[in-house]
Amino acid sequence: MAKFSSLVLVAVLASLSSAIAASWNVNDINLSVTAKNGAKKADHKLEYPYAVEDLKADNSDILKFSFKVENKERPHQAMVVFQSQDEFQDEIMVAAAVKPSGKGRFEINFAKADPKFRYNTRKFSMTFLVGGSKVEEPFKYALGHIEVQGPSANPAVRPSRVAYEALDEIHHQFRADQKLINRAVSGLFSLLVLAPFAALFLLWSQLGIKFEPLKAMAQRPLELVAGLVFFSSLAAIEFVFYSYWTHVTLFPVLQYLGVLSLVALVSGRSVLSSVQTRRLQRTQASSKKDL
Amino acid sequence: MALVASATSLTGPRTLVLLDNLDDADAYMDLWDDLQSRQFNVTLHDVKTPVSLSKYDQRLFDHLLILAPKMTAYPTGMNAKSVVGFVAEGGNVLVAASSELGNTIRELSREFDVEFDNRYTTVYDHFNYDQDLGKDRHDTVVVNTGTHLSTVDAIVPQKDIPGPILFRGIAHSINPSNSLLTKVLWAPQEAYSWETQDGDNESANQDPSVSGKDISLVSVMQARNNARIAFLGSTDMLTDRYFSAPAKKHGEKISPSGNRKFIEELTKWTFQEKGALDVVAVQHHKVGEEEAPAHYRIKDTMTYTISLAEYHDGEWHPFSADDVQLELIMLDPYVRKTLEQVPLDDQSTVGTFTTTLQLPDQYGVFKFAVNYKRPGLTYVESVTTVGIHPFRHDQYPRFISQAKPYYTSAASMGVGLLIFSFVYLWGGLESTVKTTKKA
Repeated sequence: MAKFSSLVLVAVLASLSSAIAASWNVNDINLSVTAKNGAKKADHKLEYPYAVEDLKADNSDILKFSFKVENKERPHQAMVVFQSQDEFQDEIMVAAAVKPSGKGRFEINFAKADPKFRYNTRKFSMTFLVGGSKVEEPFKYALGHIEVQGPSANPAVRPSRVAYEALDEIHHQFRADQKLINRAVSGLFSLLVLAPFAALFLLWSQLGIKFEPLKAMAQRPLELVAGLVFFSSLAAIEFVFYSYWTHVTLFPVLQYLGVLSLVALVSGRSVLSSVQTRRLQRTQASSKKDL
Repeated sequence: MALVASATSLTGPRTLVLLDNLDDADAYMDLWDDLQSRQFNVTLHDVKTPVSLSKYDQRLFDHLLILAPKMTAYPTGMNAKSVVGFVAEGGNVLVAASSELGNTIRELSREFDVEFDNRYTTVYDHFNYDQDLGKDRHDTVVVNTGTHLSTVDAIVPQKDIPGPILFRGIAHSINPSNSLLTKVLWAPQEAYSWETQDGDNESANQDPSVSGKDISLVSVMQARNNARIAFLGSTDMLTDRYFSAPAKKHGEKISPSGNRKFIEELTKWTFQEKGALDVVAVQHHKVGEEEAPAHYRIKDTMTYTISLAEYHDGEWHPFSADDVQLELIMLDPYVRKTLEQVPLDDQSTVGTFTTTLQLPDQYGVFKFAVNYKRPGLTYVESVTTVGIHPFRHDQYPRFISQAKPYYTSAASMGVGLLIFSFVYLWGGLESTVKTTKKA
């Protein structure tokens, strides 16, 4: 019975205290940064809502944090959340052990702490959280900011993830066109190629070429026709070559050439022999006269 | 009424629910109602009764809901391998856990790169607890959907959730480098995962194993075969009580909870009722032509068109996006181009994406690939293989101005022959006449 009544008493007390203590009362908050060799780099005594700025820590430094909870209840949560002030907003929650007396403390050795401290040099916001189910209203205190130096060698590597998203466009680099010489140069050389014609005509004009009059030719119609056939077969062969060069393929070309070369052969034989006869006559006549 | 089986889910209507105890089913009446109104054929099963997921290599169910966190052994006829095999065959799975999560589910989750925290741990939040449901232990977390819900609207559209989400259960974390996993709901910054308290005056004296936004409350995976798996750390959030309970955070106004709508959207996504894409047609042809050629030539200009449809609300709809990309791949991508969507009109049944591009000056066997993977949507992979040929001998330019001297010399040769023949045939030297005259 005595046990029962004490239980009741405890329950009543507990409900009373939770009714009274609607919020947490935290005092004596200390934040310090100590170098590896023990030298103190910064020491702050904090009082809500004062926030420290410009706090800096090396990656081998030790951050010490202590406080005292004045409430009768022990908080379940007495933690500081470090949130990185960059695009990732990484969160690291560090818990303090709270003794029954209400005193709580923790130390962070950045060299051994959460790898999120060691990606690179980053600024973290610090938020002190005190909460427990016995007290309705939690306590939140923005302590300020701290810049933690990243390790100079072997920084921690953030786990990489293939994000499913649109990738950068790729534009194909086409090979540059072949370099060609200037049109003017090729034009000049075309003219050069034509230059022998000029030489030919000049020389011929000095020699004085005389064409047989049409009347004389008409007297030998067979010869004239054979000559015309031969000449046009030559012209036709030239035309076939031109067509071959531009659009006609090899086998039709061979067919045309087969026919035309026969014509040229037959007509050419008679024409050239008559031309030779004429020449021979002329030479004989002139040689007679010379004699 | 068996004819009503035209489920709105693409996978099918057959749903198996595993419960620790059939009596637990009473807690989820609203969930069953919601599922049945969406034409699901729900079979409730406790873990002691033998049940098989497949028979003769055929799935007997399309969806599996595991609401049996305490399960210590699978029902006879089922094991972890059969659940993974069920997913491999395209079945969808929803796993809900609680603080009393047994090893069976924990090991199953590990198969999917999801790690639940230790047994008898709970997500606590003294800052965002619900004043009614989480009064005693601060273990019912009120999660703000504006800041702690995934922005992937294909899964759960933020704007449709009417209020904050109530969660009471266990934390899990997902492998951060697994691209198939997406965090849907995560814990507020002040939350931490700790052993379930018995109400004594204890203090969390070590760093919590997982805290803040690293605590996934709900996450989903879409496997490479487009099967979908959802992990929830809380069976409570599915119950009628949480569906109807208002959310009230300390110092904030009371508001209706978004649980019912959230679970509706999450199950719709998980059970393939939305966010599913399909390739309807792929066309490609040279510019100015209609038909796909047997092969292309390098530097050809061609048009590629792909039509995509999106499934939601029981029907296929035209799909809209501005980031569908075409790749021309021969070992490496040679060209990657974003396709333009043809404007939709009333008659559109599919979303059409098109582009016109010049093929690279590299011949070979190329793949026209649309590899469209976005979180929350089924993966679209369309590959068309085409040959790209080099120029044939007679496809090069026939005349180039720089060869003019050569053309001229050939022509002058021909013309010269004709002139010479003419002169030879019908001409003669005047000299003979002259000498005759002199003589």
